Amino acid sequence: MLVKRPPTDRPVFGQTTGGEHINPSLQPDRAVSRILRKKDMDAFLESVKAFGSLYGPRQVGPNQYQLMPVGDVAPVSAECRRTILPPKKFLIPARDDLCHFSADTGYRAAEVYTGERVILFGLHACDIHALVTLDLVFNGKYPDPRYLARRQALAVIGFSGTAPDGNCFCHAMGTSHADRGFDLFLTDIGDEYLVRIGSSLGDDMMRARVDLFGQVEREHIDAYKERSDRRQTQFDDTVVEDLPQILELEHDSPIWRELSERCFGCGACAAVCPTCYCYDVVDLVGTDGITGRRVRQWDCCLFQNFAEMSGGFNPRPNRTDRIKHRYYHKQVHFVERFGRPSCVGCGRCVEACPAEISLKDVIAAIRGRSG
Amino acid sequence: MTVSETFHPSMDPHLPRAARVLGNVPLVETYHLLQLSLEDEAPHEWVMHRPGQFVMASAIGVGEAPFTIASSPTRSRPLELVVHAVGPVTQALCASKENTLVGLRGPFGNGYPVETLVGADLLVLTQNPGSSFARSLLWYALDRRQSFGTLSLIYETPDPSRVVLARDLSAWVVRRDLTTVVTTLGNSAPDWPYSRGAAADHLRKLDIVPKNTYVALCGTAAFYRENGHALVAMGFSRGRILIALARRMRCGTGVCGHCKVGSKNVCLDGPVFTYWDASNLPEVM
Ligand SMILES: Cc1cc2nc3c(=O)[nH]c(=O)nc-3n(C[C@H](O)[C@H](O)[C@H](O)COP(=O)(O)OP(=O)(O)OC[C@H]3O[C@@H](n4cnc5c(N)ncnc54)[C@H](O)[C@@H]3O)c2cc1C
Ligand code: SF4
Ligand code: SF4
Ligand code: FES
Repeated sequence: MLVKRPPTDRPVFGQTTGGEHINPSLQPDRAVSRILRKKDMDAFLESVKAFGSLYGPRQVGPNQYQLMPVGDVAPVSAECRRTILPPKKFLIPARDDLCHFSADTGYRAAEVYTGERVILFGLHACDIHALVTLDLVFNGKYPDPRYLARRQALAVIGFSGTAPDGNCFCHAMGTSHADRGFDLFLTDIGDEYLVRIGSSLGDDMMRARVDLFGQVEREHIDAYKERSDRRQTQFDDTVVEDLPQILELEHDSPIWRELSERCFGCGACAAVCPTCYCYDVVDLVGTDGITGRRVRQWDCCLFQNFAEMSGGFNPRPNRTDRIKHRYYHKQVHFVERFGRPSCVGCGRCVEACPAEISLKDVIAAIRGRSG
Repeated sequence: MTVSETFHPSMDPHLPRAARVLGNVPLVETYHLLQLSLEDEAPHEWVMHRPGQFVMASAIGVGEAPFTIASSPTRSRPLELVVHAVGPVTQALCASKENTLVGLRGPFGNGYPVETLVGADLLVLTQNPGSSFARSLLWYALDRRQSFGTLSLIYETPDPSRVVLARDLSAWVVRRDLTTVVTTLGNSAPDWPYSRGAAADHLRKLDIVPKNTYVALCGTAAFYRENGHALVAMGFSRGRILIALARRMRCGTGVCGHCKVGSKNVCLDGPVFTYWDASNLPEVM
């Protein structure tokens, strides 16, 4: 075997994202919730910085947010609905060295990430689901060391407190709530946040300012339930029930050609998608002509040459084929392979598309009677 | 503990291992037989692969591409590839001199289900493109001859002067434990001693029982369509016809997305598929 067997005790992602894998049953008071008063949020985030570099959503334009380092002054924008780029940018950089080469000595692995822990504050449930979805792909038969090194260094503080907008359909995709994949998860229940602790790292973060956290009382439980009920009504009626089967039936629908006439094939939708992971590999030779590096960079299945082979043979020569490929990959084929779609309904592709193509409209149209 | 300590570079599926070109034998046209040996090769390392698996081979500074392992795991060394120079990577590999350093990753992919094939009759149909699959599988079956029933080969060449596996064929045509049909599509070479016409034209002349036989089709999509159709008409189950798919590949490890066909990744779930599976995948048949 050229590839050595992957370790059998490879990390499994779930409740623990901080690298400290402690059997929960050994912990005296395991996974619990606490209450954090809203006015204590800034003080808490300040203390979290002791655990790594803290990133949070910051406003960069009208209704535009990015995950950026949380500085000393500017507060993080907890009201952010979606960041322009999803958290995948911390795991799969747009360009990443795979290895270095030299004609004399062959290939040498590029360093994997050994930097500080990265703490992402403010991830919504859909983005947490997206991270877990990426794990399925990158922690598969051949665990990806570059991804995993960054993943193990990632801590997640989830947040729910923003009403959905017209582009959100996480509710339909089953990703409007997260029960795993975070270290802490904060839910706005009025004057306070209900803080769910999802890992021992989250527990450490809470304990570092234990003075800020209170016990969950009856009134908090009721406030959470009331909020939960209210939230159910805030989503529109996008339906994805049995979508894979309907898409199979509508494989030849004229909708696909109509879409291809509108789509520019620019790839913006894939770049902003939290679960799009396809990449290209290129060798860059240095000026000496004998050494260089091999990099992988984001790619997009809507690009014309994505699947093209030598001699010009292209399994998806038309844009219609490629659009269908992207939709079917996310909503049908990923389900067949992993049991869930690779779309989390975050609405980023809708917001980013210069042709104003909305995945929600496509789903509605494909469910419509004339397909 | 820093997180990176969890991983040892040798576990990096992206890292090519250094290999040397032991031999580079021009075949026909721009096809070359490359013989390679890993610098840090363990004894009998190549006994570990299956016929039909592939490696990702790199020409240093040019790039990387997938290649079927053309040698059989029954012969431990060297590792052999049949490379058709069609673009930058393949041209660089075919131009490489003895002792040139190249990169290798793998083996990847499923390969032929040899455990299932054992005990059955085996028919291999191949063209020049795809002949690496046929070469690996056929030598495997010949070297484990007692494990198989009858063995047959139909080799379809565009014209008599363009047989990529000519050297192997000269060893195969003289074997009594293998039925070999070499057939040319062209009309040239009136003194061609073998057959003429497409592979499918010769199927019915073979003494094969569909329910006892597995067929390996090695070639292009058009070749699979034509022969798959003929075989099904002869009573072959679609599950006993095996095809090998080629798709653009970047990782070989099921991540980069380039080789996807429907819910399958050719690099993980293939390249060998049953005709039934392939018929139900989009963009294949
Ligand atoms: C499983 C498998 C087994 C293969 N076995 C062999 C073999 O034994 N011998 C052989 O000569 N070739 C084989 N190929 C095809 C070989 O990988 C391509 O010819 C090669 O990638 C061409 O690269 P290039 O840079 O020389 O050409 P280019 O024309 O530059 O190729 C353009 C790009 O398309 C990709 N590409 C082109 N053609 C193919 C193709 N047919 N399949 C996949 N990707 C392609 C390349 O990666 C490259 O990036 C195999 C392909 C696959 C998928
Ligand atoms: S396809 Fe669109 S809505 Fe779905 S996860 Fe990707 S960007 Fe979000
Ligand atoms: S962002 Fe819109 S126009 Fe661009 S490729 Fe995606 S669907 Fe097409
Ligand atoms: S080659 Fe990358 S997914 Fe198959």
